[in-house]
Amino acid sequence: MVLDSRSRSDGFAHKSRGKPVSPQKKPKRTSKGAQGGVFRAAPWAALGLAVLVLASMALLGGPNRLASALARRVSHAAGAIDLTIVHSNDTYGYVFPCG
Amino acid sequence: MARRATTIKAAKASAQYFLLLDAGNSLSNEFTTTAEVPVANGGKTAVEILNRLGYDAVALGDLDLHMGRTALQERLAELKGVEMVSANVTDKATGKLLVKPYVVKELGGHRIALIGITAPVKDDPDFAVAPPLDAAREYVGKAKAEADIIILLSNAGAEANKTIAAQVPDIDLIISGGPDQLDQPAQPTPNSLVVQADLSSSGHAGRYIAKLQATFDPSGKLIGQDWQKVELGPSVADDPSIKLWVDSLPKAQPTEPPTAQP
Repeated sequence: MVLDSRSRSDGFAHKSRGKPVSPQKKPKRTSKGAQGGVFRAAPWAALGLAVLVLASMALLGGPNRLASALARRVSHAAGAIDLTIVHSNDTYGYVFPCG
Repeated sequence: MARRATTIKAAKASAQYFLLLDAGNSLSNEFTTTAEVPVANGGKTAVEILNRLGYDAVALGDLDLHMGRTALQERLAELKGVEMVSANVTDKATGKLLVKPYVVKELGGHRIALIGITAPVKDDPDFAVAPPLDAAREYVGKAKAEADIIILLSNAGAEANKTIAAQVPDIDLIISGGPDQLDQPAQPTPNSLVVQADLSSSGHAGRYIAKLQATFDPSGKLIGQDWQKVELGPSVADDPSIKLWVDSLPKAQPTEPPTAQP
């Protein structure tokens, strides 16, 4: 969705459909008013986040898949890894190999 | 054990990222009256071996359960920095898992889940063991939320482990133990691998170790491997510090001939 500057309530210009718009005069706001704005916006931000998470879970197939996808995304930054694994099994706690 | 230490140290010295893992049955076998002191002493020396060699994670083996609840819990408390894992052994007294089902290690920006799977046992008075395939399905699903590389340490046996790798998606690697020989890595699916260092047999115990060079792509998918089995024969030198410790241990007692039955 592309927002038109006319729909924005913060008074700042927004590039819309390539048409430059001059900054509008920003109305004066008291700190009390700013706090009120934050409190008014908080539920909408939370709702937006919840919708985003639910949509991601629906697309990926559940919370585990979402977390897995996030884990993999984190690892993408790490690149490939060469891992050396030395492994044993069924040593029975023997100090000297048996037989 | 001194030869095992030499092999481990050499591999670690040349590795960029390194893990030392065991698929299980590292504490005991079913013959608890064996003349070999480290087994006869209730697994104390076995725990010391794991500590001194610096294992990252070890699966709880079905034969380890033969020690019984009290001795096993004492031995588990003596581990230092070694993670004992099993996703399917529960204590009958509490109904809870006996040890952690898995741990996650971070190496090179990747999160690696190490999940333990224990072979089934029959009629154990202290412990119940859930079917390995079911446990693998449940805990691979959980671990995927925390890791991008999934490794199972499973003593269910090579054949059972190949089935697990084929049927449970997202497993990258199974370090196998228990019955069945596996001389070469098995690849049940294009991006999973099953490897086993040695056959589970009292005629083998500790004679072989194996080294796997595994390459994972940025998403954590296994894309390359080079596997070598190493026989810990006389050509492998003893590690001096470990040999010193081994030499300080009580010597094995001569085996008494079996008593004639009337």
